[in-house]
Amino acid sequence: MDQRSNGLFAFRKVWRGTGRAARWFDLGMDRLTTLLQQRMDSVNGRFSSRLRSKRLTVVLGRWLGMTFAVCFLTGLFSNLLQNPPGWMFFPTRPVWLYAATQGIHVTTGIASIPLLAAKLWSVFPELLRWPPLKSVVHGLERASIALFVSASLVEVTIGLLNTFQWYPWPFSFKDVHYWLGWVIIGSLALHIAVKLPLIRAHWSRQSDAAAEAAPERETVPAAMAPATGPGWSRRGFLAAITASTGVVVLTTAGQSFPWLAGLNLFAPRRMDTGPQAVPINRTAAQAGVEGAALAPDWVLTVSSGSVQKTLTLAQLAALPQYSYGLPIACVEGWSQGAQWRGVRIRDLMAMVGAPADAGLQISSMEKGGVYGRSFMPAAYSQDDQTLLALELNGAPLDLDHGYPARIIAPGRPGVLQTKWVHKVEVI
Amino acid sequence: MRLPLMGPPVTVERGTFWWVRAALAALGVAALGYAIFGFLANVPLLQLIGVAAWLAAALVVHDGVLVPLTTLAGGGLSRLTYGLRPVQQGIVRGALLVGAVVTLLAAPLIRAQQVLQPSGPGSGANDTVLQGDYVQALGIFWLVLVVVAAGVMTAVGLYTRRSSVRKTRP
Repeated sequence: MDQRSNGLFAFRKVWRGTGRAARWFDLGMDRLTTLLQQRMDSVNGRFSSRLRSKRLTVVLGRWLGMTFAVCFLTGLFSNLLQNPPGWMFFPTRPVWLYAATQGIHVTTGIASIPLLAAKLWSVFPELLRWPPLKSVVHGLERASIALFVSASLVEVTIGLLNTFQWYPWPFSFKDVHYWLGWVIIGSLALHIAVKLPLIRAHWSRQSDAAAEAAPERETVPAAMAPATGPGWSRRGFLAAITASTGVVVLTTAGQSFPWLAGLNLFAPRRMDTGPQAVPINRTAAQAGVEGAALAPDWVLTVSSGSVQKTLTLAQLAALPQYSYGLPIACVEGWSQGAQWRGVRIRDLMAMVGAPADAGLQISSMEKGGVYGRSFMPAAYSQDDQTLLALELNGAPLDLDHGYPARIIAPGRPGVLQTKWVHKVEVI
Repeated sequence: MRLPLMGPPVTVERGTFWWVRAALAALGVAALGYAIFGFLANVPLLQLIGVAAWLAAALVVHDGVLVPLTTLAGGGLSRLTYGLRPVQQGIVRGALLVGAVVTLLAAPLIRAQQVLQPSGPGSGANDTVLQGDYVQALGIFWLVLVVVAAGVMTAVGLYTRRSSVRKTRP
């Protein structure tokens, strides 16, 4: 009780007026805070569960910390591939590298949804602690937690909805998802720093038992009492959370990993579907290129400085053709292995006498937007397996797959595998 | 007064533990600063307001609706499953938790399909996204879940009764 009135005093001090109404105000505040305190205590009692304990929070926090770290690193990798800084190293092998990292990114993000819900549930009474503000530091800590929690909730929500290609929000997904990732990883590090003594004390079952047995009992409300007694045990709860996480992973990861395709119940994407058994992110109709792509006078322009060549589809098909099995892997996490056949990009570069270490700018017949143009660093343009593909799975490209010609390079995000190509410029 | 949230006091001398905490805190603050700079430099003001609104709404929906609902459900369950063995209560709760999580994930999927494919599956601009019958999938999932949970509960009930019968024999 002592501590609480201390806290109340500090809280009231913040609100103390200086004018004539101060005394009246103080009296009112007194009644109000007492009332609020009683209310909060009773609400807290209602939310109490014997299941909640610091040990439970530490175990869940460990899992969630790991999934967040994996999401952050794979997301950062994807972002670096799309917006490369000068020092960027572009790995082209294994060819399925990006399919794997982005599949892991999306799947781990989905796995973190039940873990996040459980972790937040385990500390819910902290939200209702009274008084709400005890000091400036306490206020800052609560604000940082509020930011951490809300950023995490929004991040997993918009990430999930993005895989549905559904954007019911008034901001750019790409920017906000990326910068919220930094908010979360920063908040996570700060949170771990603040809680490290608690985390250490409850890290293992032995240390947890020792910490719980320690005589110095803090003012832990009933809601935070350790989990003992009959009913739903901590182990049972953790098993159920593990099962939930396992189920959402198993029923969605089939969009990214072929060996789980059979269990794919709740993913927005299915493998081996769409024209030529390959899914599509953007159709020709959406891109508005149907007319230009089907025009009989289509030619590919390849240029390097003042040297310029144009090639018809028949001329391209007459060049040496190479065939590779490469995955198309989208930032939305789905991927699809396929057999692509076409002309090596480096052969096209040689035709116009381009230096081997040159980068390329690829232009689509689709105008504007992120799909209109892509830049290809030399790491890809010089790769054997980087093709201007004319065929997919043994037949000419479907219009929706980029007919008459598209880029396919090993280990690149799908958004950079430009479709409906009409210009390749050496820069 | 010591803050209960801050845990036991840290030793005054600066050991490894102190440095780990300090380094983590510094890294965290640096990353947060970078994030704020990133938001201000890359996201227009109007969109920032939208982000702030979403962040606030997420807190309200989660803390004000979802968690109270789980508490209500938990209280209701305690009454409904009163008299069952602890293991059986655990199975009921576990199965419902799995079902709730899957439903939480499938609900936006179904809603997205309604919004993006207003005249039925395949009526959207791109028919290789959201192509499953997710309502049916969710129904089948719940059916399997209920059958499995009921089966396990019955098996547990029979097993524990038999073993308790055996135990009572002299």
